[in-house]
Amino acid sequence: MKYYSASFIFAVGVGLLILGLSLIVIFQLHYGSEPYKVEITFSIVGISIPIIIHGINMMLGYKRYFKITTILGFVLSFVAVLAFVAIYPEGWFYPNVTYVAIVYALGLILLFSSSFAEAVVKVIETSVKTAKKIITTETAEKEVEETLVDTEPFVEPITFKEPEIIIKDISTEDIKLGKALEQPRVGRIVKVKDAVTREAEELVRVKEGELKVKKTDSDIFEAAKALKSIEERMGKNDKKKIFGG
Amino acid sequence: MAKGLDVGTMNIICAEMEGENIVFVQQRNAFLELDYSDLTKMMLDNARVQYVMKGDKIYILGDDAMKFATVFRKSTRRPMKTGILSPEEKEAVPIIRLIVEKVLGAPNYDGEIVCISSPANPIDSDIETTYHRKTLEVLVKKLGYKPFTIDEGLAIIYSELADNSFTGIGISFGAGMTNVTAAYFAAPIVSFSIARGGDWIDENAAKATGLPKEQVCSIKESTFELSYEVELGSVEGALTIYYDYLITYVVENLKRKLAEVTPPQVEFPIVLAGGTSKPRGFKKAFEDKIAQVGLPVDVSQIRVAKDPLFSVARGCLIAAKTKEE
Repeated sequence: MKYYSASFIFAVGVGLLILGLSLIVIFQLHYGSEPYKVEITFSIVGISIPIIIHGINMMLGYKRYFKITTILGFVLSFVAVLAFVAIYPEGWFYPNVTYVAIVYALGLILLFSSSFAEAVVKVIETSVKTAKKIITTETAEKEVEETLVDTEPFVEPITFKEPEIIIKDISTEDIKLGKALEQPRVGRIVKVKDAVTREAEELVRVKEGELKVKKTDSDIFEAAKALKSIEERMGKNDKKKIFGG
Repeated sequence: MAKGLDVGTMNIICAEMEGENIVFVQQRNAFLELDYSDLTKMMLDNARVQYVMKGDKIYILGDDAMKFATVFRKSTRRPMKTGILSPEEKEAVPIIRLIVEKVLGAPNYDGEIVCISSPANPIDSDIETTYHRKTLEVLVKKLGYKPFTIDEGLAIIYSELADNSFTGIGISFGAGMTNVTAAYFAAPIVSFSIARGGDWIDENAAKATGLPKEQVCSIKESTFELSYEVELGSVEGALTIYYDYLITYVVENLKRKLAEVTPPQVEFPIVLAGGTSKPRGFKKAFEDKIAQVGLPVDVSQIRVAKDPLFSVARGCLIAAKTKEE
């Protein structure tokens, strides 16, 4: 809604400015033109400029005192235009002209200053937000949370358990065993003098992180090369200090 | 007490401690179907052949099935294919249940720990291993055990690389699949399988030479030596070609999978295991291929497991013992 109002005000201002400039042409204004033509034309032009700037400021968005500055600037400009209409042509001479011009100029300065300040604040805020994104984890987490809240409710991932399927044993009633299969164990039996207890204990120790793996020869070679290179670059005294001897 | 169980396409092997020894109980994961007759039954009983009767059929199990297949010139049937329970074999579950039961035996106490080897998901096939893994867990649980599974490749690392803090690469060249795991401090960093193994070599060598698959398998397991000087048109020549193809395929995929992760800068020994890695010359062929292709890790050594056939079961036993209370 804010953006529609701002756009509308800006468009009205531009329209009035075009109308005013058109009237200059239509009325063919000059020093001897009729006062009402001068008053209408310059009032429209005079009021159109603050309206345009007010529209721009509204679009940028007011921040704290900038709103007051804009409104004050707009009011001063409007007062100056009214003063011009009131005193022209009879009172349109020094110092009245100067006063009106100063009030109008002051109004425009406040309006332009407000626009500039709004733009600067926006640039600073954007850069601060970017910097925070890079370095602050909290900000990142907060943004993620905000994004999640804005989009979809968070759903816990589903972890499937191993299915506990109860499978009935196959029927073996119709199977009759031959004489040789009546023994509890059947097969080629091989006995080997061997014990796996040590391996089983070591497997437990490895899984608990107690055993180390031999590094590759290339790693040892690289380490030796690096050590030699350091040695060569050092003076004899330094060598004695570090390596002894 | 705890037990390790290697459920492979060709063999089902149980490992358990007995004093200062490890006892391996091995059974072929195969069966042969015969029509029932009183005479056949009597003959099988007298010969102490392992069989079961179901309806009007007799199913000879395990190693005996292989022997009878040669005599009867018939092909054995397999409960498993390409590393998992065969969807084409309707008797797969009851037969494998029976073999597992006879290999594991009864538990020493209720809830005895059993670690079962399981294939990793293959990278070159749409085979999914979850059903196979869960079915085996259920079968073993029904026997009164408390089962859990680990990858075959990891079992090899547990079995063979204790001196290197369980850091290295374990490759199981099985019958149905080739399983690969690279681990750092016993934690897998790469684990995958390839839906090709010894059976793939047998089938293709049999097709190429026109011999029965069982005969090719028998030659491969008895006299075959992986050498790059072979007679043209011979079974050994065909076996060498397909062995070389399989090794190249495994090494290239291992290189690709290791490149996808960032392996730690430590020495990675490679251990080869599984029945398909048993022929003489296999290790050298693998070493040559690694030298040609290169791996993105520092390979400190390449060696074959102390006992390639029992390595996975031994690794499973070690894993099971760590869970003993």
